[in-house]
Amino acid sequence: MDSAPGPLADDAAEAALLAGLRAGSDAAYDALVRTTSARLLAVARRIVGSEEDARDVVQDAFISAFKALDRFEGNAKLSTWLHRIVVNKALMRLRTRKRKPEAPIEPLLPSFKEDGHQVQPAADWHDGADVALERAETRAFVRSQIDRLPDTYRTVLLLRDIEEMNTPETAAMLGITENAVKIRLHRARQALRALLDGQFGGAAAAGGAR
Amino acid sequence: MNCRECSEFILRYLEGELPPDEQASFERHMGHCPPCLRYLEQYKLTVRAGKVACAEATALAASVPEELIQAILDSRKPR
Repeated sequence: MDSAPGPLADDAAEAALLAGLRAGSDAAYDALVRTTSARLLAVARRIVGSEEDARDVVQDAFISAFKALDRFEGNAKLSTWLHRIVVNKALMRLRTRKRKPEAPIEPLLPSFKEDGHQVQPAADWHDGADVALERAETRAFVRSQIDRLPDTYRTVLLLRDIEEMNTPETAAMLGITENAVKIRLHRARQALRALLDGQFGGAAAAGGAR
Repeated sequence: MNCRECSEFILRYLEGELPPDEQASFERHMGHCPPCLRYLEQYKLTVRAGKVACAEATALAASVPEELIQAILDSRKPR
């Protein structure tokens, strides 16, 4: 199932599904899980990285959702509500999985001379940078570079740009201020730009993917 | 506004959050500084690249292992 409007997109169908869930209908639960889980698994995979953790996150999220169904207000879509639960669980998993210390992001940010000019002004990306995105290998490369961002920045970029949550939502989800969300998002995009520079830029291309 | 300041203001510029005078100053700088304009365009393309690349990953996630679906559904049943 992709992110295109599925069975849950239709208001009447959603209301019927919700009624079924509240009535404890096995068929309704079956339909909910089967229509939403693939997309949710993709979201969890993106945040936590490993397939095993992603599956745990999705399972855990559904268990929480089932318990909280009585409190589901119906002012959001079921799929949006589930999505938020998965994002939250995935972030929790990330936090408990204390990994090696994060690499600093500064080397990936532009640096400036005293006169305010960039030390290394942006070089042209070849004309095909946009076209290159039409290739599967380029898209896979972009995903691999997002994975290289330090978690502090990667999570904000994922929530804002990819999961399309707004700044207040992202701030609440991460327990940081809205201003911190903006700063981290900007840094994350700058760092990703620097990482893509090797692929899309002419001169830096020799540096390659790593 | 110099190159450094412009670089810091990109996100706020794109979100339409700069006050009118700063926005005008930002655009004036972009008008006569090709490297900054290039950087701005690459920044925008970077955001788009992330969206396109990740949308594909979501679309490709076509199926979920049946055992996971069953485990989720079984979690409802009292044991």
